Amino acid sequence: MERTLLALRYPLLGLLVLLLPFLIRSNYWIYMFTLVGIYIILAGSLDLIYGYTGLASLGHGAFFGIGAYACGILQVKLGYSIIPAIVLGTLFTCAFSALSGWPMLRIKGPYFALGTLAMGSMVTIVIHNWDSLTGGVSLSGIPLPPTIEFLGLRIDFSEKLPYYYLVYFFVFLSLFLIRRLNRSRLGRAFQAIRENGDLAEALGINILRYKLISFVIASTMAAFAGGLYANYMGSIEPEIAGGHMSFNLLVMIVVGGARTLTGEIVGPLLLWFLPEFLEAAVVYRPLFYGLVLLIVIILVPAGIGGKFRSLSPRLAKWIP
Amino acid sequence: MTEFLQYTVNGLIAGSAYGLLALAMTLIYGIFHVPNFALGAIYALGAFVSFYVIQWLGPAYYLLSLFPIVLLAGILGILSEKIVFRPLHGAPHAAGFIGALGLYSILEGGWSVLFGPTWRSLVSPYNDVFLNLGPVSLTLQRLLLFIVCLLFALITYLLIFRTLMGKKIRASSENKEVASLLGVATDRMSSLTFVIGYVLSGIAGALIAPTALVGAGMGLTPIIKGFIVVALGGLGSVTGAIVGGLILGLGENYGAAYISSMYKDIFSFGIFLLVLLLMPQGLYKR
Repeated sequence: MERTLLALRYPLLGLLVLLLPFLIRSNYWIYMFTLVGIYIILAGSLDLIYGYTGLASLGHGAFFGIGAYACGILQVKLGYSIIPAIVLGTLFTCAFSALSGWPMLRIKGPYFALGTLAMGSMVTIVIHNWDSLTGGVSLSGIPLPPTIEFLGLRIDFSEKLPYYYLVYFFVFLSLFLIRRLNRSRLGRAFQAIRENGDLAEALGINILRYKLISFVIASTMAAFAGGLYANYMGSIEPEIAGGHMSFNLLVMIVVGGARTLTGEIVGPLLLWFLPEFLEAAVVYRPLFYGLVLLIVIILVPAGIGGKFRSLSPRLAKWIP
Repeated sequence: MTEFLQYTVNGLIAGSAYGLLALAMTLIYGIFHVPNFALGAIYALGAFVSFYVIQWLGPAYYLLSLFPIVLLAGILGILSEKIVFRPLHGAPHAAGFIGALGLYSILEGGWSVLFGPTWRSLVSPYNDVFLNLGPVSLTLQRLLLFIVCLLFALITYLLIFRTLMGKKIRASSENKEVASLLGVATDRMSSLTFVIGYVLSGIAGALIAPTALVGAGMGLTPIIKGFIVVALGGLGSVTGAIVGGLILGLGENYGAAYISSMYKDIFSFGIFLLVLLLMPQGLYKR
């Protein structure tokens, strides 16, 4: 019985995601859950860098922002349609992350975090000031995907539901990819680097190359999430690339629990919805995020997912 | 040439504030090896305190605001050392650094809640007094900023290098175990270092306040720059912090003047990344 349920836990989770919109039946909440989905992709990809490879990046938002802006600019200024815009925007960010990661990943410890933070700030400043290309304070007019007529089925993206399913399709895909990746040879190299970089190097792992691979894969996923975000919101601001965004993502993954699938999902859900349920004004959010982060890092350093996993091996099976 | 001199003076003045922040940063870094971002929020607190002192008591009392700042910053320094940094000391995977970020977020968020999220300007009595030194002109406030920053840097220098207490602080940051074996109360020294660092940051904020906009988030960019200076000047180096601060201030102002003012912050971040890239190993060594 338990084994059957255990085998069914992912399909059940999928079913829950499929049925959720019919349970909540509110466009506002579907909208919120769609945004959370985008944050799950972002937090999951950051987990690859922070959790698995052990690099505390404060510049992950930069790649989300560049992806969103590249995708938006291709559509608004250059007249591309959505699919080539997302693909080209993501590829552009992929190249950018490789170029910026190549020198930056040589930097160690807190300096890496500071360096990535500086990079994110530079990206924000450039987006802000290059207004002929980026629209300055905001880039608006990014269209929703066109309506699809397929086998008599009509998918109209101006309704909230289709985009929700689109986003969660990619949420599942990216979480699946991250898990597969970390169980592969590549993922074991990442974790060896995190645990003991010198030892990993002595065993013949080219640290810089594997760090770069991890960094580029995660940044590419973030950029893709940026493309999804840009087309969903219709207008984007430079702040999505900045330090606050990157900080919030780091909070999500630390609080949820690094290196756990549960953490990648629970972190964004909790930090997105808890302030909402407490009906806290926006001004309280940084205070709330900081408090939660501090309490977790001091009292439960493994995060929520990690803590539950460590309670009993039986529970750990249920909490991937 | 006149313009160049003016930019030089502007750069030195801006740089003296960066230098003071870097000094605070480097002292605290010496203890727990964590860049303490929360200093940026203390800098903002200093600005807020002088804002309210001027609003309630009048502009003539501006310099009086330094007293409550020393008190508040000192208390926050002791609290954050005890509650956040000491428990996280030695924890793996950048935990201390993440704790510092959390503390910064709490304080910045706290100021927004307490003082409101708006940005405001502060009128110092020294803002309207212009001094003409040959071809260069500056306000008395900016001269005050420069002089007081250097004065506090000097006091700190003397405290660290010319007193027994300073010797104990240096011993604790050099090697905690050995220092405590030799009878140095290392925990008290680390609290003391936090107090000194927090007070310096609060004072820097109060001095900058009349020349900048006052708001909860005003400290983030300066504290990043303070850390950049620490990277430039060498960790644990008091003179390096001051000289590095002046260099960063100059570089930024020349860049803004001769290349583009919109991209001013890009110059300092660019300098930072270049330093990190060109001498990553040298940075780790003290």
